[in-house]
Order: sequence, then C-alpha cells, then structure tokens
Amino acid sequence: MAGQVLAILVLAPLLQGVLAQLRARLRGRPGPSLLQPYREFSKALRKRARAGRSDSAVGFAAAGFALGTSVAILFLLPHIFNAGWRSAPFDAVALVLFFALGRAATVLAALDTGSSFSAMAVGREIAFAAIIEAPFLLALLAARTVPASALLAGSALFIVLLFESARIPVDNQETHYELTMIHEGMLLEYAGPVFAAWQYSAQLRQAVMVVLVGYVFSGGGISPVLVSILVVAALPLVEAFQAKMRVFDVPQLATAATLLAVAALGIDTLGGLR
Amino acid sequence: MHALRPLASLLLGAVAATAVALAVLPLAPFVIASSVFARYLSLDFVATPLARPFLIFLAIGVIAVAIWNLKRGRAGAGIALAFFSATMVGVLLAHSVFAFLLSWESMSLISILIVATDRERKDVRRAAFAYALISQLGALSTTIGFAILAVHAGSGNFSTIAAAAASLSPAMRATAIVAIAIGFGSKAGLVPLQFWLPRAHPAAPANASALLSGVMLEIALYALALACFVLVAPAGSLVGLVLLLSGLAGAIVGGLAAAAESELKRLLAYSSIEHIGVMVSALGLAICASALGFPALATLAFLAMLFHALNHTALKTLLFLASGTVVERMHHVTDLDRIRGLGSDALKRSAPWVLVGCLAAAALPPSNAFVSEWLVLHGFIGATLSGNLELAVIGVLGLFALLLGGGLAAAAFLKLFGLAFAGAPSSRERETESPERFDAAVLSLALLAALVLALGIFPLPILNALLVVATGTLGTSPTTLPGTFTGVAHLATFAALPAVGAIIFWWYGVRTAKKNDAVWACGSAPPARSAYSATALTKPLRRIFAFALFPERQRSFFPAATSDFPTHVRYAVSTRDVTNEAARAIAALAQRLARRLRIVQSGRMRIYIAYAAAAIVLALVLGR
Repeated sequence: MAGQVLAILVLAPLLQGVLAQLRARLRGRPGPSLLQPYREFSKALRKRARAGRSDSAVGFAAAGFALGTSVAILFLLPHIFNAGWRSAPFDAVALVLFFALGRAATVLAALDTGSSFSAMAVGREIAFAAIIEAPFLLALLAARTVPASALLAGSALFIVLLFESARIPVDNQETHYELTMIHEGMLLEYAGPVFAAWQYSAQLRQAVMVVLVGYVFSGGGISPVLVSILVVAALPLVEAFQAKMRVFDVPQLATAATLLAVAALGIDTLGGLR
Repeated sequence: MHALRPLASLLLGAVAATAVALAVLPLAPFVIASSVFARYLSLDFVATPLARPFLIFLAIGVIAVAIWNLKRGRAGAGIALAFFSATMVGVLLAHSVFAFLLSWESMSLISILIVATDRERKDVRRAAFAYALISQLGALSTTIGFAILAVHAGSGNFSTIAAAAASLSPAMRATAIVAIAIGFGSKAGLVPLQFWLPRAHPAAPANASALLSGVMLEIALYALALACFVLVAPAGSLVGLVLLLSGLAGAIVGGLAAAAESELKRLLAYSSIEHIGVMVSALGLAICASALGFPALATLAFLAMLFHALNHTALKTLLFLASGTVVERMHHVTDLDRIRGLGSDALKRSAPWVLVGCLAAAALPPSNAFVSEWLVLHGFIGATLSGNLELAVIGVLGLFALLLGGGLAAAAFLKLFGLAFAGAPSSRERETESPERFDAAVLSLALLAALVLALGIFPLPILNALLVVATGTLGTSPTTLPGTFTGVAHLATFAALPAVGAIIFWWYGVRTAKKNDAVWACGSAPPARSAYSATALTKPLRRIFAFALFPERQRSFFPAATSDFPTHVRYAVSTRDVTNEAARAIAALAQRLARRLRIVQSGRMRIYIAYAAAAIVLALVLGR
C-alpha cells in the first residue's frame, strides 16, 4: 500500500509530462520534455511565494489544505481497492466528498484573493462541480458485474476525469485566457512554492482519477493497469481532436455522464434482482 | 432595557435546562384531565424515548441563542423566544391529541408573532401572513387527522391511539395519515408546501430565525416521525414513497434556490429546505424499507435522519446567529452582492466559526453533517443492494437527487463564505467601527462550531445512543452499529492530513508573505465597484438551470435617451421560484371561491340565527 501511494506521489508530475508530450506529438509538434513538470516545480520552489492577498496567510493555508486533501485521497484509494467500493467507511462516498473538500479549499482561496479573474473561474467551477458530483459517485458505485455496466460506468467516469483534470473540451490548461480558463484562473494570483503546491495537488488528483477510470473500465476482467495506460493514451487524443466547448455547452457533457452512470447502476441493480 | 438581556437569557437557559432534565431523568407521565370530556380533552404529557433526543437538540439550539442574546439581538425579544421554546418543549412532551394540538398551536401563534417583529416592513407583514395562513391550514389538516384517530380509538391518549390504529380501515387510515402529514409537512417546509419558509424564516430577527430553522423544523420532523412510526404504525410504503419523493424534491429545489440566492438569510432558509429534504427522504426510506421487510435498512435510515436532525440544529443555529451578527455589524446590509471581507474586520472573531458552519452545511469532512450525509447516502446505497425492485429504483433516484442537491448547496455555501467573509474588505466595511472583539455572541458561535467538529470527529457515542432510539421506535431488534459503520469515525483521521498541511503552509506564509503584493487587475488598482458580485458568481448556475430558475435581467440606462453614453447603468437579475407561482395560483383560486361564498355572509342577524338553528338540527339528526 505504501509503495503504491509513494509511486503516485513521485510519478504524478511525470503523468502530466507524458500527457503534454503525447498531445504535442499528435499536433505535430516536438513537445516539452517528459520531465518538464519536475523542472517547473524546481523553479517554482526557488521563487518567492505569493498567495493572493498580501495581508494574510489564508491563501497559504488553503494551499496546504488542498495538498493534504489530495494526499488523503491517495491514502483512501488502497482501502477502497482492498475492501470494495460500497464497503463502509473507506468507500466511494468518502472519496467523492474528499474531492469536494479539496475543491472547496481551491475555491475559497481563489475568492480570498478578491481578483475578478479568479472569481469568474470560481463561478464556473462551482457550477460544474454541482452537476458532476452525482455522475462521479453513481459511476463509482456501479458494481460492474456485467461488461456493459463496466463500459457505461467507465465512460461516465472518463467524462468526470475531463472535468477533474481541467482538460479540453471542458477547460484548457494551456491558456490564461479568461473566456476559457477555470482551473488556471482560480490560481492566477498564486506563485512560487504555493503555486507549486496547488499544481502538485491537482496532478495528484488527476493521477488518482486516471487510476479510477482504468479500474472501473477494466471491470475486474482485464488488467486495470493496462486499461489505465489506455486511458492515458485516450486523453491526449480527446484534447488533440476535440475543440474546446463553449462554457455553457459543457453541462451537456455532465448530463451525458449522469445518464451513463445511472444506466450503469441500473443495469447492475436489475442484474442483482434476478 | 439592560436588565432585560440577562433576564431573557436566564429564561431561555431555564427552558433549556428543563428540556435536558426531562430528556435525561426518568419521570412519570403527567396528566391533567378535565372531568367532562376527559376522554378527548385530557392533557397528557410524557417524555417518550423518541422525544428525548429532540429535547436535547432543542436545548442545544436554545442555549446557543441564550448566550448570543447576552450581547446581540433585541433584549426584549429573548423573552418571547423563551416562551416559544417552552411551547416547543410542550409539543415534544405532548402525549394526547388535545395536549399536542394546544402546544402545537401555541408554538405556531407565538412564532407568527415573532416573525412579525419588524411589522413596519411590508415584506415582513406579507411573510407573516403567508406563514399564518399555512400554519392555520396545516393545523386544520392535522386536527382532522387526529380527530379520525381519536374517535376510532375512543380516547385522545397517544398510547391508546397507537394500539387502536392497526384496526383502522385502510381508507380512514390513509385519510388520517395524509391529513397529518400535510399538517406537519407544511410546518417542516416540505415541497410543495415550503413556499412560506424562505420568506418567513429570514423575516424574523436572527435569533428567532435560528430557533425557527434550527429547532422548529426538527420539531416538525419529530411530529412526522411520531405520526408514521408511533401513531399510525406501520405507515405503509406508499406514504413512505410520497415523503421520500417530497424530500428528494426538497433537496434539489432547496439546493438550487440557495445556490441562486444572493441575500444571506434567504440563502440560509433555502438551505434549510435542502436539509429538511435530506432528513425527510431518509424518513421516507425508513418507512419504505420497514414496510417492505428490510428492518436493518430502515434502522440505518432512521438513525441517519435523527443524526442529521441534530447536526442541522447545530449548524443552522450557528449560521443564523452569525447572520444576526452580520445584520448588526453591517447595519442591516445582508446582500451578498454588497458585503465583502467580513473575516478580516467586521466579523474577525466570528469568521472561523462561520467557516466551520459553512463546511458543515455543504456536508464536507470533518464536519458532523458529513457523517450524517454519509449515513443517509449509505441508506440509499443499501436500498440499491437490497434486491427489491422498488427499493432499488428508490436508491438510484435518491443517490442522484441527494448528490445534486448537496453539490448545489456546496456551491451556495462556498459563495457565501468566499464572497462575504474571505478576501479583503471593500471600503464600505472599513467604515464600520472597530474590528470585532471576542464577546458572548462569538462565544456562542464558537461553542456551536466546536460541537459541529466534535460530532464530526467523534460521532460514535451519539450514534450509539441514537441507535437505541431508532431500534426502539421502529420495533426492530436492538443491535449495535455494523462494524463497517463504526469505522466512520476513522474518516476524520483522514481529514487530519489537510489540517496538518494547512498548519504547515500557514506557518510558512506568515514567515514569507510580503506586504506590498497587489492583486493583478490589468495594471490598475481595482476599484471596489469592480469586485465580483454574488449575482455574477452564480451566473453559470443560472444559465445551466435556466429551465427551473427562469432568470430574467433588466438593464436600464440613465439618462435613457443616450444609451450610447450612459452615466449610470442599473442592472437587476431576478430568478423565479416555481413553487411560489404554484402557491400564488392556489391562493388566487381560494380568493375567487371565497368571493363566491360571500353570498352566505349577508350580515343580517336573522339569517345567522337560522344558520345556527340549522346546524343544531343537523347535529341532532346526525348524532342520533
């Protein structure tokens, strides 16, 4: 268990690098080095920390809080894999609510800066969070007793992954353009080690999500690791061949995820009746 | 007026102490029977096992209000609140129809008067009127239901009624339970009878709102549970299903309205609708599971409901009292579009506790509401796993509705704290007097926040105590919590990681933060007017849920003739509450009918005497 947690802690930035590299290759560009996220961290750690409002340390505390939440999620994960999704207490419900806790810290930190850019991003973040939470949990709860259920739940969770990791078509990590940004927008006022903490906790959550999607897709049949690798390959494909959606079209994606998740859970439940 | 303050708090404290004593001490039933109609008009009072936890919940809310009242709020108002609390104790103790209706009506009347405290304001008068109307209709409905039960049992005593309920004919039984549920549900703010709640609760002074939302809603929930599990047990799965659907609708409607709302106290009132929705859906699940033969699931759902009621008392009392502090410190400005950065000045000492309350209202760990929401969700997960088709459908539906409602409520409370409390104060707040000091009002918030966290981190002792109540009420075999559920306590240890991270980074921030960093606003200093407002923040939500919120915006340019170069622009956004429109349509219909019925009110004495004579003759004929 400690080994798995440690592996994700070390490799989460590498995953970000791999995704950036693959996306660039698909677009016909050489792309950044796989180790670029680590370099960014080492540079950020050498800079002076800056956290929004200058007269309080609230922004710092929030960054630490969010990082702690991501680590807590990491520690929840092995419990869930060992004991099952619906076996209390270390279960999908706790996982989803801890994701929400990390988001709450980010949102409050962004609003604490008082910047309108950040607040604009917050407005989108809380709206999307409200509609993505239900498919997230429902997809995790689907027991995936039949391949169809696993497929549906996995697809729903893949959409949730797009939301949680701030990727096209929901968000765009590569711009700081106020019409598109959500995740980056909230962290605009943060720099140096505090910014690194925010980014690192986001990368940890992204890694956890990839593992989750892989696990759910595999449905206990195929190797989850293999499926996770496929998910990693699929993400840049979506990013390279999809256009960024209009902000107010994004909810349709969440609706699709909800329908998929409800269908998955429905198939399981009806299957359980027989 | 100065002597009134401690006196009011003392009275409130006395009521709370009485409630605790009644809950804890084994007391004999207390009966006042009048000689003539003793069968129906006897006043029986007893602290039943189901009422005891609610007496404790009441005491928690009342004590917090008593402490808060030492510093803030109108001094005289505390005395009215003490009477109000006493009537609520009466409702919890009542063990006969007459005693119950007497206490219930006193509670309603006093609370209507309290809501109408600021009756010089038109919106307050209208709110009080709407509340009075729904209270009276609800009481009428309850009386009908109780009358059916009491006449069948031949006595007004609740024990007799409960014993006789099994032999009631199905039709009468259904009529009775529906009538009673309408009466209690209207008081609890159940959808679609909730339209008065977001008007009446915020119209009252904050300490009264705290008791209305934090305690009286739980009393109404107690009454519903009493009706469904004691008086007319078993209530049947159809009743359970109706309550469940109503609760789920409440969770979504309340969450959505709270997320779109920009007025502090109305936001809290809408959140109460969301929370009561969660509780009533758990109650409905308990009824369904019990009727369909899943006692363990029913026990879990009932336990979750009881625990959520306690948690809602703590967190909503906390938030409403804090709103009272905001009202006083900000000179009655409670519009989230206009208040900023209370945490660094005007409500410096209260802000951390309000943050705890907001996290709890959003059901985030490690708060108490996280644990109870977790239990409720597990109730619905259990329903999907039960192997029963009806329960499985309920389970999937419930999980979806509760998560959507919960996500929306989280958005509402992140908005509330993030805009009003976090961040730097705008110039307006800087004008208020000195920064807040630690006083009795802050102490009461701090105590409630401590309770919220304590219940979240160490829920097991309370859960085990409530489990005894749940098994006793449902008549299931006494059990202990399944091992997996006792593990809920360990979840708090995971929340320690974020806390540790926050402390480390806080320490680091205090050491390294520089004073001269300004926020980037395109190269210029941001004027206070350009700060993002609550209305702007929720625009995405209004767009996404436009099909339910009906957002409308109005832009007016001044001077109107030259809209190309206006000197002043007014921008107003409004959303509509669909249920309000439904209520308005019903009210209009009632008024039309009343106008028709006016013919019988001729105003001539002879006619009225004829009516009376006819009524007597009719009574004699029917009663023969």
